[in-house]
Amino acid sequence: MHKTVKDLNSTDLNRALKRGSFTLRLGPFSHLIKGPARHLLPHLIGMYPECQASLDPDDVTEIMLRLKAPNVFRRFIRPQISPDPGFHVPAVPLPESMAPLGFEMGLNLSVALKTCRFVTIHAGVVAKNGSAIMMSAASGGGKSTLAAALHSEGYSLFSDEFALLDLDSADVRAYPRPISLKQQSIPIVRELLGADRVSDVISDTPKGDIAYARVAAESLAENNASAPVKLILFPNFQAGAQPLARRLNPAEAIMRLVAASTNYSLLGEPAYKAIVSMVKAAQTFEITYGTTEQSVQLVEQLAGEGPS
Amino acid sequence: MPTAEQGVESAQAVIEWTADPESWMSEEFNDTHLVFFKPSAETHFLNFLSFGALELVGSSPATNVTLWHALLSKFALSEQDLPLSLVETVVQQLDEAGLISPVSLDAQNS
Repeated sequence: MHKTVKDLNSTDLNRALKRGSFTLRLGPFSHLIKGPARHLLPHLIGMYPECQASLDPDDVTEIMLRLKAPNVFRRFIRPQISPDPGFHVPAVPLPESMAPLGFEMGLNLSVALKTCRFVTIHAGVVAKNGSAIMMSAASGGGKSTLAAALHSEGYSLFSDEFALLDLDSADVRAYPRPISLKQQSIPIVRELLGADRVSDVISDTPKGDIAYARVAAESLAENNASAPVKLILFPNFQAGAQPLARRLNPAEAIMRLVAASTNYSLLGEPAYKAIVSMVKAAQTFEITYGTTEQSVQLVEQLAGEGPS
Repeated sequence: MPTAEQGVESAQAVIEWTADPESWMSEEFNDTHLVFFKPSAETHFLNFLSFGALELVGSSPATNVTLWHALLSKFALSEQDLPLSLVETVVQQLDEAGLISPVSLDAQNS
């Protein structure tokens, strides 16, 4: 029987984080984590309570992340941390109190730049009744708020940040990390999911105010789920806009997904085949909306449509 | 005595273009073509004319003029619909994208 984060003794967990032997199993990855326990532990317990975890490394670890001081002085004087995913990344050092942000950013960098088993696409994914909806948008396009809103309506959250597209089946794999919220989306999601599901706000980060929303336990229970994608959306939130859906030429959708993939050029032909296969089996729309309620109605309406 | 500019123009007119059909994969969606070019791992979005030109050059090397005639025939277009200058632009764009390349002089002479 695997233990979850909430099953582990916090003193042991604290020690494992400091030692660098804490292992978090989520989606298709085993993550080996080292970091400042004082700030990281509350985040892990608050946002990943139902996640499988252990105090010792797995036999095979895909992602190794260390949050460490950028230099020896910053271990002691106004302590800072930088994510170290095992390769050089141009990350701005953060105050140690922002360890949750450094942790989530570090995992994002690791998945975006190291994953070779899946096509990684910057997109949110939710699923219901065995099929998935992918939402790809630029930062600020409303992707996370829409994913949270659909999650609050009973959709499983597969991913908030990265869609993991299987190279062989072209299905998406669940990787249900906490939903990353910025600025105005924080109160909206607090309202949608309940305040107890949203973390404290981390203020004045390089990305502005940040908070995280915990994924429902049912989604974590589907940790190893995969599903074919039936709807691919490119959401565009515009305050005050009327809801509108524009069907996209699949070729245009593919070009947008290629641009949103972080490892497409690295993987080459298998990535092209997987994306084409996924898009051919799905419907593709650009959607514009002015409120979260409109976005949910629009998505449910499109999801209810049969193949074109 | 031809000027340098005329010399370049006449050289361009006789360049034969070629492409390896094994080097790309394509999918057609509503008269547009998605082309994945294996050597660069880049994906290109081509209209029917550009893709037609790529296919023709891939089937046998062609100069701008022979390609122009082949495209007129393939799509049943008139010279007014498809002037040579448009084909030259398409060829230039396909060359810049790396999808086609000039036949080497050695190959032309052999």
